[in-house]
Amino acid sequence: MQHRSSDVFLAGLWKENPVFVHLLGMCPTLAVTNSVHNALGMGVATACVLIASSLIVSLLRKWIPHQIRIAAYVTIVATFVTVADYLIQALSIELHKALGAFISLIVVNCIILGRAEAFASKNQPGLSFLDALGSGLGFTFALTCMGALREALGNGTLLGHPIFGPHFQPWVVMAMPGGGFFTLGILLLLVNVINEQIKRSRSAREGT
Amino acid sequence: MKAQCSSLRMALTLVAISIWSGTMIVLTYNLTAPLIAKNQDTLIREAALEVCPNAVRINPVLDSASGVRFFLAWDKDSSLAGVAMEADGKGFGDRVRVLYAYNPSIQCIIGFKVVESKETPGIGDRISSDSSFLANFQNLDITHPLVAVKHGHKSQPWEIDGISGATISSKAVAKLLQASVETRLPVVQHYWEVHHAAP
Repeated sequence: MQHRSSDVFLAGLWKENPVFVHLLGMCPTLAVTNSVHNALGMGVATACVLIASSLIVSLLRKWIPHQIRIAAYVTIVATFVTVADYLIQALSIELHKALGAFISLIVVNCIILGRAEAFASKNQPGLSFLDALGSGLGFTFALTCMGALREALGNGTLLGHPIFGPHFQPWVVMAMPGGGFFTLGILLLLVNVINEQIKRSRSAREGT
Repeated sequence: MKAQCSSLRMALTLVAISIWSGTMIVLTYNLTAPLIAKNQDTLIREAALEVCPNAVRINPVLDSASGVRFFLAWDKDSSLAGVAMEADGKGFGDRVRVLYAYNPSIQCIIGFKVVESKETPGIGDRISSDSSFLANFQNLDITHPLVAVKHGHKSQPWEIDGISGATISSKAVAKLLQASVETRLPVVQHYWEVHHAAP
């Protein structure tokens, strides 16, 4: 199976976006996207763990016996999550407090184990790196979209700066758990409409 | 994989990965430990300044005999505004860590802030946000043992008006404050008198 590197990278970003298309990693997507700051922090942390573990899994793919691969992958992912946990604490205690238990839960984020099993264990390190980078950025992009919408409507701010003026009445529900579901539903609808449009215009072009 | 792998090889592979994993974690821990400690320290200092009403400057004190750490807070006229101290104990979820300000001249707790808690979101975590609960700590008499009472039943200056629905968290706060007060006050009192006499 041959992959073109640009395809591999772009797939994770949009066409096979882990959140909008595969609907993976829903737990952090719903739970920590009440502000852009939190969403970005979670996205970048997950992307870093994803890239590092994909690289290691890909490098070791010939040495890890098939029967114990899941145990090996989980150990590798857990190592990078622990490392990320310490690094976030060293960078910003505030962010660490905001992300709370969700940092440790990156271990069980199905995107990471999914990419390791579906891609990194079968492909060279270079390609696996691109695949992980694409999926990681796609995840961060999706989380940031959610965070921006929810923070703007639920709090009237973007990255802490007020954007609607003093008379805006925040929709508190958007910052609460319920708002996560609403926002995700609306974004999924949007992404599907866009993809449908692309498909239609492509088939129209091929028809003429 | 086509060939069956021997159990020995599987075990060895897992051992090798675990050794690598351990090394990575220990290295990161050692590299980040000083930074994390520094961040924690800044966090506590900021909280100490915030928790003491009217404080503009704080200086940390470590009593070497007892190992008690606290902050002396000064107001803008350079007179003592209060003492900020830490207290921690078990909450409903995990450890609850708070910082409180104490004024020895009136023997009252005059400020309170939750530094770390994993109490249930929306229920127990209201110990850090509920305004009527936090109002308890603007003037809380500690000459009597502190107790948390049902919401709306506070009748004595040493009683803490609890949060309805979060009885365990409210009681936990009373208990951890009481424990901290008992061990720290004798030490703090001494420093307070020394500094009060000669600011």
